[in-house]
Amino acid sequence: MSTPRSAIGDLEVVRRQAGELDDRLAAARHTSRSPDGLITAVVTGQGTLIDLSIADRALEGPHVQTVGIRIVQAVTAARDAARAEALPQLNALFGKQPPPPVDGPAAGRPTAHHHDSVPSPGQQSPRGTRASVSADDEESFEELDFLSLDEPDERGGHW
Amino acid sequence: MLYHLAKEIDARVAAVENAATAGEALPLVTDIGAGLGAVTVDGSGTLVSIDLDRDAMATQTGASLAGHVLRAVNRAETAASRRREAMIAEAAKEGDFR
Repeated sequence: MSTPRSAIGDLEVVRRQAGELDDRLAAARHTSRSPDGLITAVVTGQGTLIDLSIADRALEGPHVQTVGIRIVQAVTAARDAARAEALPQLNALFGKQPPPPVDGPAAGRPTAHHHDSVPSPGQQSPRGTRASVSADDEESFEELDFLSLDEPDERGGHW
Repeated sequence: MLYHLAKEIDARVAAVENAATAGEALPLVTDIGAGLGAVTVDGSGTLVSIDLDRDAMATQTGASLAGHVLRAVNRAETAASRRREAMIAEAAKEGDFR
């Protein structure tokens, strides 16, 4: 088991890496088009919509009523692409295997104490990854012994 | 005493979790502007639908419509996110036992 000092050091490393990942995701761009190719959406690696293009032709003809649906399709596809690229990086950062088999094998995971640092300041996870990250938070909290902090004789003890 | 403290912490955590869940479930509708229609996002800020007025669209180019929709989507998603945070903060405040 790590000492509080080394745990804090680990926490700082993870926080720094999370910040770097956040910067990479913010700089990444994912583009997707509607099925007819007339609408294009661009999102960041965090899933933020930053550009939308609609061809004039999309506003003509009998399918004009489906423009809204096609915009949503393009935006969703771009965000799916962003999530697909970000998820392995998030998993790598927080020590998770890509295909999580239900949520059982949390016990014995050596990096469980790192999960407190998931939300770095200003970090926005790509949409859809939030649920899996918060599920891990809950697991890690269960592993922490908060009550031991209340014991005055436990200074320098375990977390 | 420790038991009561733990119970109060549990109650506060439950209240915050409930607020987070409620915030995610509640849709938010934002006007696109220029009579073009509305954007709907879910409580977590995910784009759900875009309803456009056909007559108003006839006055737009693709570029101008895209600009209106882009701003409306970002406004709606930001508003949903802020609303959810406010609901969680409010729940945490209500559970304050001091």
